Amino acid sequence: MIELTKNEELILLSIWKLKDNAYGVTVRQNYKSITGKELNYGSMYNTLYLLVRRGFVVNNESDPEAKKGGRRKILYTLTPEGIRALKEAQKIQKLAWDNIPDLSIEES
Amino acid sequence: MGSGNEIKTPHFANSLLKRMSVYNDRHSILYDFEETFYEIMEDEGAFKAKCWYWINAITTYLEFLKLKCLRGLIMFFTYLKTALRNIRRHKKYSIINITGLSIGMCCCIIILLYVKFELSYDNYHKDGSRVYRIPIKKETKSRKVAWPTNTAALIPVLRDKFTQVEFAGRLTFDNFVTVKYKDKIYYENNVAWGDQDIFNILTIGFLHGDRLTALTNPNTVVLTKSTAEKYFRGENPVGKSININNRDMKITGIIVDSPQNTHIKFNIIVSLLSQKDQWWMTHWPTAMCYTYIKLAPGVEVDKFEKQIADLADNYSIESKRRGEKITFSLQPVKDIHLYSHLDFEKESPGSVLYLFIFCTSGILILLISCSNYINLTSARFSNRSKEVGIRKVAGACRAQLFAQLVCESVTISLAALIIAVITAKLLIPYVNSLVGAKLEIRNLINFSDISGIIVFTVITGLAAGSYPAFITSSLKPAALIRNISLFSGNRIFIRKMLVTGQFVISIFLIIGSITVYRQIGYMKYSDPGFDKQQKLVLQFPAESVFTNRLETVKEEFGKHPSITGAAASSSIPGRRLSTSRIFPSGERAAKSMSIKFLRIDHDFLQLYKIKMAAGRPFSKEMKSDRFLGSIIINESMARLNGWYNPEEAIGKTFYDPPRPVVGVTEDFNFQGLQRSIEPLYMNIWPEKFAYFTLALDIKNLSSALSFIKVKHLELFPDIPFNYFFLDSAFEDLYQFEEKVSRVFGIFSLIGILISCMGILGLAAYTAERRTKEIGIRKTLGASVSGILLLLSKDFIKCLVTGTLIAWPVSYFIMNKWLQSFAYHTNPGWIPFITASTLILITAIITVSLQILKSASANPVDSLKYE
Repeated sequence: MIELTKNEELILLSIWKLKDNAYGVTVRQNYKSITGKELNYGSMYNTLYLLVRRGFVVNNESDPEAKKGGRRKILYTLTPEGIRALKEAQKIQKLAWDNIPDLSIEES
Repeated sequence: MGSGNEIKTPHFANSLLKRMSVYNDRHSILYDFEETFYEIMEDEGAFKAKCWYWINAITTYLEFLKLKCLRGLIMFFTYLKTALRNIRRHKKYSIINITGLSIGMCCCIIILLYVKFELSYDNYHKDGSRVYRIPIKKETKSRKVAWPTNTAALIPVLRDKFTQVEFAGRLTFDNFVTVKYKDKIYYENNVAWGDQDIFNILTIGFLHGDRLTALTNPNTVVLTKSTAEKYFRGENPVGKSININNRDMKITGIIVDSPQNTHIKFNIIVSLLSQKDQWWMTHWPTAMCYTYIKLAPGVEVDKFEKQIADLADNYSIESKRRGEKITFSLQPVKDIHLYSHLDFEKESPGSVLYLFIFCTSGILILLISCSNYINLTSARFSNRSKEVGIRKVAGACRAQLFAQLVCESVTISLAALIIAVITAKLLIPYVNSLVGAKLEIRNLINFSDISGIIVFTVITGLAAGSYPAFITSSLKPAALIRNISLFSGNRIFIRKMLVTGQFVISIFLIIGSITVYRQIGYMKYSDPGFDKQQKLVLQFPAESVFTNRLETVKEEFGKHPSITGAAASSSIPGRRLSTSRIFPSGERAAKSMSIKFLRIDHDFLQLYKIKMAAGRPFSKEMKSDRFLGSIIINESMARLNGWYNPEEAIGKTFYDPPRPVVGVTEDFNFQGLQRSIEPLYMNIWPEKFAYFTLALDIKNLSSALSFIKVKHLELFPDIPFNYFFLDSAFEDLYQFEEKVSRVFGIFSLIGILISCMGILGLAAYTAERRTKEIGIRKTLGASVSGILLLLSKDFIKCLVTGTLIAWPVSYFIMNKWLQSFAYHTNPGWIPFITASTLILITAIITVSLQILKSASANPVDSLKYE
């Protein structure tokens, strides 16, 4: 069973959602839009480093930008392993939350 | 990026960002930061953007540091995993390496503990730097004596007349003191009489009672905890009364048992005031008391010594007349155990010499095992050149390879350390019983020792691994794969030298052990000039036990058929004899000598089968023997007085009024064969008889023993029953030499073991290296034994060289040691031949085991080996 921490899961999901446009800034923005928290770049890079080590993500250099002095971005892509990790996370989520009614504010 | 092109991201923050290597290589940190910067600038303005930039640059840097630590840990564990994998792959080498190194380390740890222990004697006294003992040195033209004790009268003078002395106290000892409480009655040894001030000078812990007043009154006594347990199990003895040598004393305190590391130990201390009327308390020439002082702070020792020199000069009129020179000196109590070379020390002293020898041996053994380790490691690496070559081709960088190999050797040395510590812990109880010390691993658990040991181990690993790792990682892959020998010429010579060195040391140790063993055997079994077989000795306090009833006692004991004889004396051969002044009649002033004496009865000489060289033994018929105080001397005493023919001595007299010499005995060894036979005189003085010797017929030992016990109870109801056999008591004289023998034996064993390890590893290396050559030789028709001989040639050469060096050196050293004994064997041929043969056999077996495998392999396989 592949274990992912919450942050790892969210970052993987962001990369998945962003398809070809997953790099530092975008992943961070996506994370903020879901959780509302600003992710520190350093801790994000660290989490990504560990994800790369485990073989879920790969770093690719993109083509340079179409302007003078354009930098190369580093894009992240999920590996098949990474996709599998997400699938498992989803399955666990479903199983765990199955049959639990919508938690609304009123509780008796 | 759109507007705000003039506003760039903060420069210094950027340089910080650029320093984060991983974030720049694997992620686009500059890019991300820039983009976010401009976004914020658009939304919230340049100032907020810059703030954000700076703050996040710093927090990200902190995360970067965390990453570096993490990566370091990961890399460390990867190296560790690979190291362990490699070690397991080359099991044989690794085990040999680890074992050899841990033997050496274990030895060192134990020796370190021992050295620390010996150096720790008496280091716990408060204000220890001001605590001194005052021994006495007497010099005449003919002899010099130095005693640790001094005259009892010295202390009052020091206390009263010298302000430099803060405290002054005495301790004097008695053994075989009868101590009685209710129905419990025992002989106690190490019973001291002391001044109250002793507690201010030496640090003696009090468990009950008041330290400041314990011995301020006469007839008071303090006991150690274990002594108190014997008589007062469970009760608190303070305030109770206990009977010591027929005097009732009040117990005023309980003190802790004397620790192992002190030069003076006691079980009981009685107040010295109880003895204040004794004649020796004020008699200057008698040195009975260990004298201690604590100097006031700031006093200079040398100046004080000079000041008390005057006291020494006025020591006694008698001494002046005899022309003796008396010197007092100040002996720091801390140094007594190791540096005091006085006769009659209370506890067996340590010796700086032996400590030094142990240290050196420890260092030697460590050197051998370390050099073995380095040798084997480099051999092992060179055998793995193929593997390393392939890894290089696959892209491993040189620094990584180097780190990997070094990591392996450090892991091995740390593993060796762990094994060494565990082994040391297991062995310490045996070592303690062997050497009579109380070592504990706990003593090493403090910061400086532990860090020192670990640092040393890591350095050994580094040192052993770096040179081979350096070379291995720097060679081109092609060369490595072709298995070119990395180490030629110089290295081989160094290796041979190391092996030869190990042989030399091992041979020396074996020769030493055998020689010591033979010398001890010689001393134990040669004829000492009297009969020590089958003698049981009863010991009594010398307090007129036999007055007027010696013959009755002998009769009573004689009633058992197994008891064939009995005799009483003041001491027995093997126990320390005291000296007394004796002089030829009429020459008291000029020719007074200090000679050892024995008070004996009529039957003593017959019982001990001591032969007469001239004259006759004491006899009951000659009443003059008892009442005129006839004297019997030994041959040495006769020679001392110029009577080279023993007959000349008969009729000569000593003392005024004169007492005649009626007999001269042949010299007999009453003191152990380490010393030559000193002059001795004997006379009859029944009040001083303290030992009762019974000759037994060994056949009915147990019934004789129970008979003796019963009789003893009958005849001496107030005296505890205490017996021993003469021959074992005499053997105790050689305890020290036995210790040396055992230690030597152990060192030899260790030396051989470590050498074996070394040879084993090298043989394996050689065998592997020359596999192809062996295969070719076999194909050409060489036999297995022929190949064995060829490969062993190197080792045999080392052995021969080692022997040539070791024999002369060992002969010289062992000869010197033997000469220090008055009676000794010759070194002889046996130890030398045995030593070399033993090493030869061991080496051959070890080497053969390794080489046999390659030598008998199928040549086809060997040639395929590439």
